[in-house]
Amino acid sequence: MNKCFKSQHRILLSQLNLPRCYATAVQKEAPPPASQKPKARVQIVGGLAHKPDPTSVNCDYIGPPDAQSNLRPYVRHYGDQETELARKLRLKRIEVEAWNMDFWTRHNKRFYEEKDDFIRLHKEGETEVSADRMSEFYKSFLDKNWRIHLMYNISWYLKNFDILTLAAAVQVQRLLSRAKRRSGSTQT
Amino acid sequence: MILFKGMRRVPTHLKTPAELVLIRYSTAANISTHDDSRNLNPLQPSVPVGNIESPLLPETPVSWVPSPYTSPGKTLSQYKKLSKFRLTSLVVITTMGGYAMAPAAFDPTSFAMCTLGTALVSAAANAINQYHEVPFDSQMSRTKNRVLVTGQMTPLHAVTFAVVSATTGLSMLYFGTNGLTAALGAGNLFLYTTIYTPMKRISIVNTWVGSVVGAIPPLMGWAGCAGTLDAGAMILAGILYAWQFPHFNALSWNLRPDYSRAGYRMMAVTNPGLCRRTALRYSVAIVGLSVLAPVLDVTNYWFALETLPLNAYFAYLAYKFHEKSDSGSSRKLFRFSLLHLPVLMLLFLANKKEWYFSKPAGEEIKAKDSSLLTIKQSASSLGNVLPVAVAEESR
Repeated sequence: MNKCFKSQHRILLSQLNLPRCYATAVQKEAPPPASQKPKARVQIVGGLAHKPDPTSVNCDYIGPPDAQSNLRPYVRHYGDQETELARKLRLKRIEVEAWNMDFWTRHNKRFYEEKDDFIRLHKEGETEVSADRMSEFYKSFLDKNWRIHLMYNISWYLKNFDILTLAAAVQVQRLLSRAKRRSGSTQT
Repeated sequence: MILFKGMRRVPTHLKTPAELVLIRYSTAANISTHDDSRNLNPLQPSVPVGNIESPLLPETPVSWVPSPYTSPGKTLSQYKKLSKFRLTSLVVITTMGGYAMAPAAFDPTSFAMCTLGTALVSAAANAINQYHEVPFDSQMSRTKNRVLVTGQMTPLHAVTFAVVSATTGLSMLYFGTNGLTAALGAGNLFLYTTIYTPMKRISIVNTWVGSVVGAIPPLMGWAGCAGTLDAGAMILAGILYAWQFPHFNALSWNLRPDYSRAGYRMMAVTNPGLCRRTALRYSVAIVGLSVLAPVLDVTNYWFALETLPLNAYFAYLAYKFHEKSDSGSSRKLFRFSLLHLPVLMLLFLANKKEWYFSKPAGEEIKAKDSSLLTIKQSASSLGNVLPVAVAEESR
């Protein structure tokens, strides 16, 4: 029963032509001892320790969150068969991710610096600054950055939509090429 | 945390893909010993606030994971997370409450269509919201484990899910109930994705807009059953509108640093005094509206008596929050608000004014005399789609 289901799963997945990730550092999951909680058992196939090279992997990879910008970096893979549209999408994604990371790194740095300044200014002896006092800082920070946030918001929405339409076009292209290949192969 | 020799246990509350893995000790040189010697949790997720010199998270053997990625058997749970399943369930409960309270006959088909349709539209709205807010969600600890933030799903996949879900949901609402319900659903979807989501970063008025978004589902339920909206529907909608304030203000109170850094303009951050006052004000309004419900023939008069302790306790917690305004009181208020709403819905149901809707006396006599069958005019468009004359049931 198990075997049947697994093979059906594979067939379905192969039809969908998802990016195939051949694990380079597969960690085989040991049958967990009884003392461990079942919730922890999620096996990742294809997990890597270090940032992979874009040409050496078969699918996109996402890494741990960056400490300064809190965003997760991506590695966008590509191969020889990359079409023009797919290349545009990849470059656009890389550009937007870099722009995002840069914005948030600078923004968060500003936030922490201003917060430290505020705390240093308002700290009376050893007591922590009260939550209400900190609210004044939070409000002033938000007010100061209102315009920056608005501009970022608009830019982010437009860029995100751009990537979405490109990704949709690439997906349609892939489906069409697969349909063509299949009809071509049945003809020959 | 038990560390077996050669097996590294990861704290399960972190829940990101890279962090929920049991790694078998292998001879690969990758496994570093620095974490064990430092006696630190190697995947400590939280960067201490204010410390920008904190080092990059040490790379573990599975730091980099494929994206998109679905653990086998977890597809449905991914969709549930994308659609904010628990929030959607709460919305569906309010819709069911609205349907049940409407002064019209209960029709199982239209009830099912109304409920499912609302669930799908709500799921679509939440998916679009998550699609828009990826960089902001990464900044806040409450939301940094969402599926789009961790790359388990591509944005295209999420938007496709949203489009399919919205289309199916709105069609269900239109063909399964009526045009008014579908229009309310579409309007709510538009309000949430296009007005509320961007407004969160522009002005604190977003909380009022968001409360309207929360008040519309019971109206949808009511319209799905009765076909029209009347004063009774407004009572339900009003209670839900008022409920959003203590609920959300309490939730956002503890997240002020996160909201400020991510750039969200919430009352808790920009105007804490207003935050506390509105929470109290609207919890008192709930008391008033619940007492008004029997006056407008929505419920019987026992309802006012039964809801008094519930709403009074809610208002008391809001008062405590207003006075103390710390993390304890806000959390209590938030948790009770999650209990308060379903219980209130149940009380509405239990005290409904009239359960049976029969024909008026004049028509009954006519039906008994004539041998002709009368055609039922249903509030459901389904009856109009299928051109079949449905005989009216005799009571």
